[in-house]
Amino acid sequence: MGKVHVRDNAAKEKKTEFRLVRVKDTWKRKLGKKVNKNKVDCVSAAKIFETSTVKDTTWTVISPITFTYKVTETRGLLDPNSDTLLLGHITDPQHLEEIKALNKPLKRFVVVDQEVYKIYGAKITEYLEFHNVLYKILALPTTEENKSMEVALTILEEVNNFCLDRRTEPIIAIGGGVCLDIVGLAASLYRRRTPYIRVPTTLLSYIDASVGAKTGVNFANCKNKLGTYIPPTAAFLDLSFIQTLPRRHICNGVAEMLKMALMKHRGLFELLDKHGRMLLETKFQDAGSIYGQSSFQAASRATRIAITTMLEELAPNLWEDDLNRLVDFGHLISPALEMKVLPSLLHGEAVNIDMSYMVYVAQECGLLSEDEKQRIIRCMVGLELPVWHEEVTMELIQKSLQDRLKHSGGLVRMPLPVGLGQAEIFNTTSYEILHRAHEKWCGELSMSSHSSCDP
Amino acid sequence: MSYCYTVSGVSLRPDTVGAGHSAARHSGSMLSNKCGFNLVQVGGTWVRQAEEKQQVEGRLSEAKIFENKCDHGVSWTVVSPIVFTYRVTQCKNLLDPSNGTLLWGHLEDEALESTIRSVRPVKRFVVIDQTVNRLYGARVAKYFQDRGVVCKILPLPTTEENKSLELVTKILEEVHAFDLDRRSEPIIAVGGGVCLDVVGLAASLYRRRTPYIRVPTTVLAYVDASVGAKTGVNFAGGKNKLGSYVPPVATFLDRAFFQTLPPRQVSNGMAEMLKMALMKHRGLFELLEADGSELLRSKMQSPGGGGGAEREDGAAASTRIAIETMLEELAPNLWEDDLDRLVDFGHLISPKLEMAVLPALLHGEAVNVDMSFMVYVAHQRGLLTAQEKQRVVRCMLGLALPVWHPGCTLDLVRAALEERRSHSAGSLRMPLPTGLGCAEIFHDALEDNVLCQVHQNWTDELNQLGTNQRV
Repeated sequence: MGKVHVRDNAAKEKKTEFRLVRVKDTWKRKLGKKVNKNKVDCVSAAKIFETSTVKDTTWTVISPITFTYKVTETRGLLDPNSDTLLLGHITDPQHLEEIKALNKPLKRFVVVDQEVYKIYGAKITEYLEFHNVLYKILALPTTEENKSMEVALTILEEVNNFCLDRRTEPIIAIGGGVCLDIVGLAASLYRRRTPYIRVPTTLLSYIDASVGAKTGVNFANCKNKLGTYIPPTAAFLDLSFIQTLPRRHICNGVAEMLKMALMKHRGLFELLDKHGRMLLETKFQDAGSIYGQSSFQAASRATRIAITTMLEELAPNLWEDDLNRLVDFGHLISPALEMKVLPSLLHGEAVNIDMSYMVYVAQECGLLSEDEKQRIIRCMVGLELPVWHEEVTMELIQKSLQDRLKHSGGLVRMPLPVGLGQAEIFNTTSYEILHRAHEKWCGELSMSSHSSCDP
Repeated sequence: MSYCYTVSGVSLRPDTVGAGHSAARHSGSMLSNKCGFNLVQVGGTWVRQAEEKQQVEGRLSEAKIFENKCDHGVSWTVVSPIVFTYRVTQCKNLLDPSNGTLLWGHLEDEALESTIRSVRPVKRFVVIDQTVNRLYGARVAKYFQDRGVVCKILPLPTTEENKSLELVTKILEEVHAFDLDRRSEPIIAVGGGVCLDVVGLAASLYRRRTPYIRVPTTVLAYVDASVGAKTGVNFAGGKNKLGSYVPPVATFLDRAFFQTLPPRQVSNGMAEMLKMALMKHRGLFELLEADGSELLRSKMQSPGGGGGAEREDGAAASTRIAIETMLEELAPNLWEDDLDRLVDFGHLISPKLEMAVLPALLHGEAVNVDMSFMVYVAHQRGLLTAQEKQRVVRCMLGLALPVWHPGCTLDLVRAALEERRSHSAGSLRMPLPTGLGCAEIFHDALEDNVLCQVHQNWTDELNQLGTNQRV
């Protein structure tokens, strides 16, 4: 029988627990916890609790939805001999065999960032032709300034005309973070959920945008104010795209790697500290360096650590139910900064400036030694990242932290490093400390502020 | 050239107990390098831990990561369950200022205690359908005023024709200006299905997820739109082409709103109740059959004013059963991973029909025309007797619902079923009654000559009744 209990006198209440079982095509609720599995086709993980009082009846539905997605680091994604791009998202080997045996041409809708298309468009087309795919390629400019619902709608109109199967024909997005975010949002909305695949072409999106569930567009001049938490079916990561990235954009991506290093991985920090320059010079191509030919493979190692640490933090908190997030490091002040000086700072650059300031805060709080602080700043400079910006005034900082409070359930939840490669979250950092840290930060870094970031 | 993929052992019904999120190593040719990892939170940091290893002290997540190495690279498969919890409360006097439900009914007791103790002024943003606002707006305003709540009420016309992303954007602009707390100040939607769908979508998108509350004011929304997870707007001529599956934190159901509904709207909602009855509840069917006209006349209000534990009256019983049966079907399949859905009954042809004759048929009316047709299909296939078929049609007429419509041509039916097939992974998945109050889903195609025959019979028998039975 179901669990029945009477609460206190104030509200005489009966509470019953129901499991949900399916027989043939009909779901039925069944009292209690024990279910005879032989008599039913299926038992759901969802439950319904019913509570009745004299005044009302409440049903509480508890329904777990499992999100499963793949992140695959690979090479030669656009090599005609590889079928990862088309079939790499399929997890069931039997299903895969069936598709291959069917010999039917696959259908794919591909959204490519305009700049990426100029470089890789021919290769993408060649790949799709080689595999006999019925395709439509939509090349669009995707920038922070046009990251809006309008662009998502443009994509949706085209997708709607192309008539994709609801489940088996994922939309493919090829481009940087903005492209992946917008396409992800469009796919989340279409038919309430359409599978999609991410192919990041920048280092930043490789590490950051591609690995979690977030999608989004800007709204009312605020970054990512609208979006969803729907992960792609798969993300395919191929470092060879980095070869055609301008230096500045590579540094941009390294900032997010550095973030993970500072929060959780001393080894990654030391790798970036020691080999950062070389990684930049070789554009993260192991094959092109002496380090790659030996077994060291710095680039692969670095990206692998960045991905696994990111996945560790995102997987248990996919929908941000827990607002304490280490990955928010570098993201408390940077959103306001980035939007204020748009387009002069790239996302990673803004993140790095935020992190640089926070490192001063950490030192001021006694969490980092002076040495550690210097080491981190030197590392950032070595990675050619900006460590200061004149728009980061105390006013901007305070406004950002106030927004943070509102946005994070009344607590500031400030991630701060407590050593090299370790961090904790703090809620009571005083104004005095923030102010002192800001003074020191300006005093020490504004003169030597890194200015190689030409727009 | 072989390539790298993982087998994560997740079944096609991921929410089903017994299906493996297994970390079992598969013996055999491939996957020799596959590892499963648990995720444990130590201090504020998440660490992964190989499954075989002893668990480190810390909070264990339900999520898992599987790592698979092969020649060409590495693949990680993330398996992350998100638990959606929401409440559906049936009550009376929702707008009575002494009833705390509208303000706090979405909270569990512990959360409620701490919220009440908080000193901060309470804020609420309410989107209310324009017509509903004319009837109830003053009472809604008074409710919040009496309770000292800082409230913004946004009245908007919400119709099938303007159910669009533009409307969503409009709501979002106002919500954004009002500056709600991210977690503790749910947006409240008061209105019919369109209003609830549109606000739900806006709330799903804002900050990637903002809590919202549904207060349905029509019978249709009460039994249908309010109880599941779906939100949406129309797009490019297609019904509900854009949307999400994010449920509200709570839905508050008060039948008193029906008192101001035109009779046509009451019938409209009863079509969805009839749907559930035909699919799964003989008792509900018999109730609607016997008392339909009276329920209609009384606008689903319970007779007498008494509370207490007397025998449940027809109006209360029918709405309760409709909700319970709907919840049974929706809770295990909240995101429609399973495309076999009994609740799709009446929804194979009606989407196309409804859009084609807009605004001639209300949603429930279109659904009923569809169901009426499908009952003829069921009879033709020997699933229903002639008598059962008659009973159903008579019941529909008793509820003042249209059982036929000239816009529902054979061509439209054909096109709708074709779209159904392409939208449902290649199979028709047609729910059909197999008796009064039970049903099954049929996957095989409907031959065209059979379809023609049924349509002919249906038209011959019902076209006189179709459009002139409305009182």
